[in-house]
Amino acid sequence: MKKNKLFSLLALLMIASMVLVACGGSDTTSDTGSTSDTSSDTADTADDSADDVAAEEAPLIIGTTDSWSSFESAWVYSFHDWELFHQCADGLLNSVAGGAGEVYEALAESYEVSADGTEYTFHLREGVVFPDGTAFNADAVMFSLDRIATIAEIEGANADFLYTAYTSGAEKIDDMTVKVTFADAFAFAPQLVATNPWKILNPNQYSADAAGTTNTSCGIGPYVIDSFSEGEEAVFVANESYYGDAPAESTVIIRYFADSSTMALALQSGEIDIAWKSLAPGDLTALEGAEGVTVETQGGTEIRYLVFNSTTPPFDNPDVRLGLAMLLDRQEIADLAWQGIKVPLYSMVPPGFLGHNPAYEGTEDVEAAKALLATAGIDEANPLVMDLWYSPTHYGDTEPDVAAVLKEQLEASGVVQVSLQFLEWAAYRDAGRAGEMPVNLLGWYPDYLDSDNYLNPFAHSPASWSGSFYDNPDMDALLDAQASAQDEGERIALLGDVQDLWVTESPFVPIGQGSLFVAYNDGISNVVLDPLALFHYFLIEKE
Amino acid sequence: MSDRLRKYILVRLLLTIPMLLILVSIVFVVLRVLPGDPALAILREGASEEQLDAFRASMGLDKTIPEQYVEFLSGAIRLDFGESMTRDRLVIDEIKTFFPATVELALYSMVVVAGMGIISGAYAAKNRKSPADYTIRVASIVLYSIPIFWLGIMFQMYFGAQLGWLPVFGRLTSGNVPEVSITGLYTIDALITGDFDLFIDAIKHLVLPAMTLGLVLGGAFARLTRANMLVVLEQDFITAGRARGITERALVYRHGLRNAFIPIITILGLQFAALLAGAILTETTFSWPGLGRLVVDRIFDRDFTTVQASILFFAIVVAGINLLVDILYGFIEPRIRY
Repeated sequence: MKKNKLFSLLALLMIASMVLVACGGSDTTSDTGSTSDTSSDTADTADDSADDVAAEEAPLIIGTTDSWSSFESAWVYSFHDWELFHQCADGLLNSVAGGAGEVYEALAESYEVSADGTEYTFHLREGVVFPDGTAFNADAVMFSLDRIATIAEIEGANADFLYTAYTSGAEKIDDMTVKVTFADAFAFAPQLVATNPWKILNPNQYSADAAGTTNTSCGIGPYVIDSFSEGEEAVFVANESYYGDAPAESTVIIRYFADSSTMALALQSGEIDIAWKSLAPGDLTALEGAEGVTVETQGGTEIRYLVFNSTTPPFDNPDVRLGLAMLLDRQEIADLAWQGIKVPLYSMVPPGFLGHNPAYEGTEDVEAAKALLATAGIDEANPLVMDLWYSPTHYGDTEPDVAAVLKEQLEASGVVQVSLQFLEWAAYRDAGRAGEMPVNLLGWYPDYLDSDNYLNPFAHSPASWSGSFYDNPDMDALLDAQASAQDEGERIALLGDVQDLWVTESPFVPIGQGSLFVAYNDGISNVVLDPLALFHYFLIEKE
Repeated sequence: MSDRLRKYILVRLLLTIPMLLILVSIVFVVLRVLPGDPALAILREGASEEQLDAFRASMGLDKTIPEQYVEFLSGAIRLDFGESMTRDRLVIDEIKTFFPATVELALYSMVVVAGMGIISGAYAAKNRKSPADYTIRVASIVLYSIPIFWLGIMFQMYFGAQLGWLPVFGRLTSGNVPEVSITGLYTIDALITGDFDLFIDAIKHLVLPAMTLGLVLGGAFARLTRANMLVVLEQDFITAGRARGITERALVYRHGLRNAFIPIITILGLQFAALLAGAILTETTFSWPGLGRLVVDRIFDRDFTTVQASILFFAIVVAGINLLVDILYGFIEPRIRY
């Protein structure tokens, strides 16, 4: 009996505590508490100051539905991982916030390019130290660049190619000078240097030949990572020894959400200050009408496109590919399927990038498309029967709608019959790479902010990763020429030629360009949306 | 502990081994026959064949399936599940990180199940055919029929966004990181360390997810308890007790409920598996960083090692709880012999 009573009492106590707490109200945007142990010694240096500051002001809290995968710069490839690094590690060059591919000197004070365009000599910034006091110099740069290549060689990596595939190595000239030799005179070399694998890490905190997956030491940036708990939160505090401008807010906390709806509700309840990537269309609509919430948008760098397997009949015929492309109504797809979160795209290169040539504009003509398809023997009497493949969740919940609208548009011509097929993402990639999906939907985020990254990886032979297998020596020659053109005018002309040829060949057909959205509560300012989809925590101000 | 009980536990433990072996074998085979190459799912889209091959080799995916199976089993026996394919760290560390959140949610949900489901079921049986009985019966059907995520969203919208009483996501308020982690269950750790603020914060964050999960399962338990109690309350010992002048409350909640408890606790043990399954949905709705969410994410990533180990871990927990329930029978009903 006594045991029963004790059990009942305990149960009652637990329920009572829950009910009491529920009825007691809550201050859901409370202060920053204590810090936790991390693998980083550098974070410790900022602990005391962070605690002091946290006691004085509320931290800036940013929500995201993205997820973290690693802190190893040779490995990380997702935008969110890059975004975390972006706050705590500068490169020799950094991307300008909000600029489409512009870079500025960060840890390099200046740089020179050799006459043939292959050698970049970086003069390093003097008097700069890592958060633990380690001096920044040419040894640190060499350590960071060499370890990318070493780790890629020993363990295999995912993002190392942005350094290893484009360079033949780096060389220390003196204590404050480093020379990097590129494999070719790449016009986009500065944009490569601004990518994540080129970040300079603290040599005292990392192994030269082993991945630092959970190492939050980073390098030299406006913030240091104070604590990190996967799936819960990342806490950044100001780097007291940063050489540049101090961040606007001394403490920033990133909160991880499993879905967009909860993140939107957390914004409205004041538990977070900013709802960042990615808000679903329905949540955006709800937030746009919410009191005290501001929603900002900007064209992003994500593109969506159709892939044709250029080796599978009848899609090995460029006229068939172009004919199908001409049946599309991109504005309708954007309005009906994407509900305004993406805009029509008329070139693989989005607007704002060097040499953007919207060559598909004016090609949406059903009668002309039918005439072109007729030359390939496709008409009402002999319609093209095809499968259209898509992956239902990888690109968001709107993907089935995109496929449905595409089917409707193609079938409206009366000369095409479409059967929709779908696969979950992992299987989709398998089938795509094996060339088993003659027509399928894909998307792309750039690795570096240059037009080349929207063209070369797709149409330069061998285009195998996408399952396109497109191979055209004329296209290859044009792509190679634009990549190494040092004169901007010449390069713009070449990029224009590539995009004109693209239309007649149509190995991939651009459909839409993603937009970036951010929603924030009153009292938040200086939110800069960046085409690269990196959020600059250090610029944001909170009243 | 009697010899019989000791022998019973031993036999049950021995029987658990083939059950776990069959389960992990099915999971192992299903993961490998599913379309979707982990290397393609995990590496970037433009990765070369060489990079893909190197990744497969580093994860042992270049070996034959029987070789991989033997390697997995020999590791599992030593509780060595290898490294996560997507996180480059030990799978056991992943489980240690995420499992306490699921346990904490499941425990508090059980409190709601027991508190609301069982007590209301007993009350309905005591007041059979009264308005309260009808209300509880209808409410329990409605609750059991409600999709968990929908109920969760409604709670979030009303108690979180509209009234502002409770947080709508996570285990703790932003930046409120526990100084020490003993069990990983924040409420327990807070009590051990005497950190009352942390305890209150953790409880606040538990209310909505635990109510969501607990109420849905509590509906079923209300009906189950009511049905069993009706049978028990008709029995002679209740009539005899009533004749001896034992109060109605004591008859129902002490003698009746105890005798109706065997089937309830059996289902409670079995439902723990359902609770863990339900926790996956609740964890997603409330952005609760638990093991359920981890498994779902890793299935999409084709992270074989994490999925295999997590499911094996879930199975061990469920088997352990059912064994515990069987042992508890003897304490609840002394006439039961093992």
